[in-house]
Amino acid sequence: MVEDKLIELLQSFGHPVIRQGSLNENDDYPADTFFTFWNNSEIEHSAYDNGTVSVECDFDINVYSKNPQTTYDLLALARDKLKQSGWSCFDRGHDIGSDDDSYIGRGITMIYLGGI
Amino acid sequence: MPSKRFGIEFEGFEYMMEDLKRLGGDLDEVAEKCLKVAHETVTPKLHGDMRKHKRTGRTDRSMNESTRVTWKGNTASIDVGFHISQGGLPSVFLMYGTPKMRKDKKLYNDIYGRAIQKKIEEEQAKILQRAIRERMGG
Repeated sequence: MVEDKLIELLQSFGHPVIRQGSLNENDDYPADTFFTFWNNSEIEHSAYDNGTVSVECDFDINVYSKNPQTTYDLLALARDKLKQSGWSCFDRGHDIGSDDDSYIGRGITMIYLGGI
Repeated sequence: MPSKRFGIEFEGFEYMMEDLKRLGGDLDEVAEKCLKVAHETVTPKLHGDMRKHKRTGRTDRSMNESTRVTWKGNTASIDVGFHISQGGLPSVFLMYGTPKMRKDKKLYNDIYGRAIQKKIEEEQAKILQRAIRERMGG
C-alpha cells in the first residue's frame, strides 16, 4: 500500500511517524521531533481487466519539533527524499497548528502517482 | 495556509483564450469573471461548513469576502479563504488538524478538494464559451 511505503520512507529519518489526529487529548507528543501524515484522497488512476493498475494519492506530511530549524530542515529533507521516490508536490510548505505550544509544526501536501 | 490563490486552469483554456482574442474579445474581463466564479463557488461552502465550528464567529468573519482581482503584469489572481491576521488562525487547525485533532475534511475540500476544483473549472469553461459565442454573434 502507498501509505505503508510513505510510513517506511518517513521512518528512515529516525523519528516517530503517526497519523494526524491519532493522539488522545491527554497524550504527550511522542518525541521532540516527529512526523504526522494524513491521506486526503486515493483515486484509481488506471485499471486493467477489472483490477487497479495505478493510483493517485494525496497526502499531508507534517513535521512537529521543539526546534524550529529542525521542523523546516526535516520537512525539506522529507520532501526531497519523496520526490526522489517519485512523489510530486505543489507547495514548498505551510504552517500548521500544534496542540502543544512548545512545538512548531509545518506541512506539505504531496502526490503519489503510480502502482499500488 | 487555509487560503488559496485561484487561477484559471482547465483543458483547452489557452486555445479558447486565443479564439477569443482573434474574435476581438476582452480577455481581461473574461479572466476576471473566471476568477470571481472561483470565489463565488468556494466562499458560501466555507461559510456553511464553518457553522459547526462557530463559537464567537471570529474565524468565519475573517474569510475573504472581497472579489477584487489582482493583476501582476499579465497574471490575474483572486484570494479565497481565511485571513490569518484577522482572526483566521483557527482555520489552520481545522483544515490541517493537529496530532490530537483530525482535520475537518469537508472544510479542507471546500478549498482544495478535487470536486470543487472540477466545479470551478466547469464554470470557468462556461464563461469562456459564452464570451466566444457572444463575439461570434450567437
